[in-house]
Amino acid sequence: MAALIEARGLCKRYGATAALDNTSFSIEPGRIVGLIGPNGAGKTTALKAILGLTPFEGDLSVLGRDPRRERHDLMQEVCFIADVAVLPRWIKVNQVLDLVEGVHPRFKKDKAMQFLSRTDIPLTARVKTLSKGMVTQLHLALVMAIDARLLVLDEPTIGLDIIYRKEFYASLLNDYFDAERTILVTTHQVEEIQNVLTDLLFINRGRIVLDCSMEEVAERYTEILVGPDQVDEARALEPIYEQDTFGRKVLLFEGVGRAELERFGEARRPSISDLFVAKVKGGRA
Amino acid sequence: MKRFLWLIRRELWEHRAFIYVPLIAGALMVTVSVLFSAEIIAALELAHDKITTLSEEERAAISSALIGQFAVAIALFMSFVVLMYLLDCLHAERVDRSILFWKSLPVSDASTVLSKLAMAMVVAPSIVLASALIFGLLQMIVLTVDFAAAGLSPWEYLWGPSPFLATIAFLVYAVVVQALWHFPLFAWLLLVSAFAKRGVFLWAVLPPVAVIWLEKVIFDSHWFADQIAERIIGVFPLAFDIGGGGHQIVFSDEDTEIELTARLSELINPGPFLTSPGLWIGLVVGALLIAAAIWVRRYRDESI
Repeated sequence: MAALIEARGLCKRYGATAALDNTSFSIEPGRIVGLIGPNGAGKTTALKAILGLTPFEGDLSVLGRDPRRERHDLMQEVCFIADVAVLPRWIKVNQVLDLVEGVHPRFKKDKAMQFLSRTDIPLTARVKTLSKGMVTQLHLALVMAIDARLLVLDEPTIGLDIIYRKEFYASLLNDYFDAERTILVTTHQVEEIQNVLTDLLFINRGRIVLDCSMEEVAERYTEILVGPDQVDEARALEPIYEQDTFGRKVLLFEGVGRAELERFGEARRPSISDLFVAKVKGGRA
Repeated sequence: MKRFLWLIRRELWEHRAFIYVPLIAGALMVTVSVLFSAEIIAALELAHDKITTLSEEERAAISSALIGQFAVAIALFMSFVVLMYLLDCLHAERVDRSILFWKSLPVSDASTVLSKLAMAMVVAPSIVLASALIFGLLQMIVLTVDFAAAGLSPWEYLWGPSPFLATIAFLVYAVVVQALWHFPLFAWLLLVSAFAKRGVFLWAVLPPVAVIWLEKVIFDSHWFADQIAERIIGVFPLAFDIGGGGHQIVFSDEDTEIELTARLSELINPGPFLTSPGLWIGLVVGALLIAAAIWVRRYRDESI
């Protein structure tokens, strides 16, 4: 199957800083991809490019279309939630439902209503009277009722408490995601989504520093905990990152066989946040 | 088209002033005439002999003016609503970042900007027209009671001579002509709204003022200032046959003199309007400014 998003040599500068620096990646259909990077790494710029919200240089095809020229058509099959609280504050819940039904050919109002009925959101309330968590629920209800092929989420749960965050991803997985759909998500709260993601894209200073599936992460990266007496021996295998914990060291290896590492103790798959720090710090060194 | 109507509906949801400002203005005027019924009845009784000797034309002129005054007053209030709206509509969505929601819908930037232009050029004039007619008729109902109380036949002096169709034709023509003439002003305000980061009002006003000032300093002339003034108020002498033809009926008192027209439709004079370069140049300039506003909304990267 052809890639859903194909990016080749994307470049975008804001003054002297490069938000996208010859960035290339591709995203296959039916995946949940985490686009992860430090602040100012180019995450949001990459998303904006995909959504046709910003001009850039390079080749980019989203669902076979060029987002610069065919944005309007693209938006029939692409949905996005650009962080919380972008729903207009004056609008009423039932108005926004009617409106999206009126302008979006792929929106099923009853589906959104069904989702809303499980929340405490009153249909006659204005968005400005809803809590931040409710606004996100409402936005999610709208997006989930759209039969889209690509859903882009930019920090969708920022500022929400933990219960809403958990619910958000649970709804997304249980009620929305299927093999036909693709989700591209950026977030700071990496730990919460690591069991949700199928693929990782790390971006730093406008460049992709890691692009692989979660299975590949388990194959390629291994983490071990070693005592001080074994550190030198383990270091000989060239870990890409190390950190201290309670007098022992956690070493992270790339492309070193698990069997070889297990003699130092239990070898495990690193957490995304550790891998992220390793990759991004590695890029900075 | 169905989608476009949804966009219009959405504008009316957000900007309820389009509805309630004309309603309040019209209701206030009718309420005042109800409150002053006693005075009106007294005045009608006092003028009884004068009224009964009025010619058919003179009676028609008075009743046309009744609806006309509502149209003028409501149009004046509405022009403030439209002005504020145009400056705000593409700016506020960037300030509160809701533009990111609007842009997530499959609605082109052109339809969005055109829906906002349609609010100023089609929706607002239609509301002015409808409310002028509704409140004008309400006012006539109030006056029916007053006439009857003053011993004057409402049918003979108020309803009978009223040239409703002529008045409606005139009002429709007036709002269409006005909207076409003001189009470049509307388009300029929309462009400023799409473009300015802050201080939309200053952005709207200062550049033209700067041009006027520069022209004054460099050429010691005031061509641009004349153009602006012409654009704001110049449509009336152009599109209406004012002072010509002798349809005017003069009502004079000791110290006041009012000129009224019996059949307002006789003022309609589209020839000079349609053949004036000002109209066509204005339409072209307006179209360019609208294209620029669409371009800015499409390609402007930052929601403030």
